[in-house]
This record gives sequence, C-alpha cells and structure tokens, in this order.
Amino acid sequence: MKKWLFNPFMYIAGGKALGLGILVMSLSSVAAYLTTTHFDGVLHMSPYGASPLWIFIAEQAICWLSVTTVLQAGAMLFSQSRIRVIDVAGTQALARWPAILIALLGPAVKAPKGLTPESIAEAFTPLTIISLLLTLTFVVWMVALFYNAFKVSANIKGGKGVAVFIVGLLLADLFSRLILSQLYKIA
Amino acid sequence: MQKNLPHICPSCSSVLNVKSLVCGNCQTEVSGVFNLPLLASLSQQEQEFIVAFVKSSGSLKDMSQQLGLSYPTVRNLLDDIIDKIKTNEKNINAQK
Repeated sequence: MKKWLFNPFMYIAGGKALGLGILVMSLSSVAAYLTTTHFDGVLHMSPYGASPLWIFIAEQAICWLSVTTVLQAGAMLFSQSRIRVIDVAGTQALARWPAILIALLGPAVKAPKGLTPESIAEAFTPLTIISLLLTLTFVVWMVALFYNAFKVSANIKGGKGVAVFIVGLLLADLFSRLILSQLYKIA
Repeated sequence: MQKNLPHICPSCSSVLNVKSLVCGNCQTEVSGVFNLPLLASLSQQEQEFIVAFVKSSGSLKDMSQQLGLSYPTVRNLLDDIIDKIKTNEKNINAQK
C-alpha cells in the first residue's frame, strides 16, 4: 500500500503511466477550473479567479512539460542508464495526481485581504488552517511522487540523484512561471 | 533448507576459490584450486533474475510483464547487477 501511495512507478511507467497521467491532468484542470485554483508554477498555486478552461489545461500541461524537459536533461547528463523519454514523461504525469486534491481544496484556502489583525483573523479560520495543512501535505506528497518518479525513470541514486532532482525541480518551477506569466499576458 | 554458495571469505573478505568438487553419484573427488565463476558471486535472487532474463531472450519488456514490475524498474535491477559484476571483476583482477 505504501509503495502504491509513494512509488507506484515501480509497477507503472511508460505509456500506461502517460495515459493515466493525461487523465489525471485533465481531471486536475477541470477541478481547478471549477474551484478557480491556478497552478501558476510547478511548486506554486494561487486563487487568482475565474479564467477560461483552456488556461487551466495549459497550466497543467506547461508545469508537466517543464518538469519533464528539465529532469530528462538532468537524467541524460548524470545517469549511466539508458533513459526513455516516455518513462520520464509518463511517471511525471502520473505523479501529478495529488493536484486534483489540491485543486479541490483551493476555495477553502484564502489569502487575507489586508494585513490588519481583523482581516488576518477573518482569513485564518479553523477550516482555513486545516485546509492549508492538508494542502501542504498534498504538496509534499506530490513532490515525493515527483522524486520517486525521477528516481525510477532516471536511475540516479543517492546524493547525486537528490541534488539533480532539487536543482531540476527549482529550474522547472522557474521556467513554468516564466512561460505562464507570458500566457497570462496573452489571455 | 536452501544453502547459499559463499563467495567471500568470512575471515579476510577476499574472494573464495573452490578447493574440491565431488561427484554426487560415485563420490569421486577432484581437488585443486578453481576460481568461482563470476555469476556465482551474485546473490540467489540476482542469479534467478539473470536466468529469467536469458530465458526471455534479453527482452526487458517481457521481463517486466513476468515480474509485474515497470520497464524502468527492471532496467534498474539489471543495471545494478551489471554494476555488481563490474565491481566483482575488478576485485578478482586486483587479487590476481
């Protein structure tokens, strides 16, 4: 059970993972559209407001492609195994499935309207705090899935694997934010 | 009880050699110093993996279906065995 929760990639990878991952990203896009939760970076989400459905689909696709591209490049540079793009792409797509839960929790997580004690107290109700903690848990879970997906598909172990993953994830976050900021200007 | 063939000396951690072989039928014994085959230095599980790999004509795709594991997981297992064989080869050559 633990392996299925944190490392399903031991059993599912390649085309099968990609198929499931596309389904996951489609569901995440619809959930994000319905709750107006924007994934405006690989490691970033904000309740910006309503937008057309295609924006939410593009957010999922850009975040996934950024991670896949950067981690594939990292794997090609640092792994001694024969890496398949379909494995990196498929496992990273499937690893995004906690995004559905994060999107569903979106409306409960509100930013305070100002920095006055009243507005902060108004924003941080017990329900908001629980939702924030749950969102944080799901984000950590998603990052753990990203890492395990990378570890299985790229076969880089130990400190080198962790370092390549962290740098890759931060770079992918930066790229996705840059691309999405351009997309928001067009939209 | 299944016994595993030891290949490392418990005393000094050097690679072990074979001193004698015996016929299971007539008990004839052959003595000498023989090197253990490289594959004998792998664990039982790793040897079974190699046998399954050869039986599936070296197809990782077939192996992943047989073992119920994903393709990259099977490839990683194979890469780990390759690394181990290379290390064992180095150790054996260093002792010569």
